[in-house]
Amino acid sequence: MSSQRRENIRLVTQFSAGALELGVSIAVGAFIGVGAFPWVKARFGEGAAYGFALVWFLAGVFAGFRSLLRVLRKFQQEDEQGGNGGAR
Amino acid sequence: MIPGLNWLEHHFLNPENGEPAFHVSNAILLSLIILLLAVLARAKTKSENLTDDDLVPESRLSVRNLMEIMVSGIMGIMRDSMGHAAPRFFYLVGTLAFFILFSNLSGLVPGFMPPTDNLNTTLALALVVFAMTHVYGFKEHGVAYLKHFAGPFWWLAWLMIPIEIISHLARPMSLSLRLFGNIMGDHKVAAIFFALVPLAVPVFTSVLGLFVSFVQTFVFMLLTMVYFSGAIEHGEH
Repeated sequence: MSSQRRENIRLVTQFSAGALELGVSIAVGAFIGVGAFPWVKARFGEGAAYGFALVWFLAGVFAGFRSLLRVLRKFQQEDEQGGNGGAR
Repeated sequence: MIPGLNWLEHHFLNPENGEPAFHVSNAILLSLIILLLAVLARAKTKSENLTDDDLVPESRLSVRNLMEIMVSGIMGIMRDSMGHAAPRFFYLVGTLAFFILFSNLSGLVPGFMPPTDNLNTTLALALVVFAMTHVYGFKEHGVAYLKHFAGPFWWLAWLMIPIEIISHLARPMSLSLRLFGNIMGDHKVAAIFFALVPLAVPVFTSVLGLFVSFVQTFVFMLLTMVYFSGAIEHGEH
């Protein structure tokens, strides 16, 4: 396999991994928020529990997009350095 | 089930229902096969009285040549991704690559259930990567590794720490689900096509399975290296 083809596969792999981590991060955040719901509701009330779940869901969304942006920023840095980056 | 392996398959039982846990017995069997291949490949170069002829590869395909091709291929991929830090992580990443590749390819053998067809196996592999990421991070940075979780500014730490925790927890989940989903899906598709058209069509599904096996091994390796590189790097996130 040529080095350019391997490099292209690497770039596609990292981008698709970032995209999958977007979804999984949202799921993890929602899972934490929903999982802790009964405990928060017992201690602080139902309103606080819903707020807690929403905060963790939004944190998951933010974490997912941050992972994706990190990948894109790395691609941009490699492109600017002009080394191995840049899918052809 | 493979004939003759009943003892191994029935020695490891699922505690929930008492059924054989094929992913455990098959994982052990594959590990033994890889170990045997490694011992065979190493046999000729292990002697204390080595000559130059012993170091020259054989002209025909042999176990040693095959293993050398695989090891040099893995090392080449690691050097492309990690640079001079590649040899440090070679043993772990190489072991993962061998195990995952052999597990995926074993699914092409009729009647053999690949260990990576089970979420328990892929999750175990992903958790090893998750744990070792942080071990390497602490070894490289010490307690200062925890600053990675606090973000670029100290006054944002209250916000960044939960977000970083979520990001890090998402990694083993995505690693395990991706590998499990691809291998299970490929296996299911092959089984369905084989049930529908037992002649000719399984050849194409086997070729697809071969491609998926190599690609998923590469993807797992690559992401492992990305996570390790991120843990030991000294730059800003």
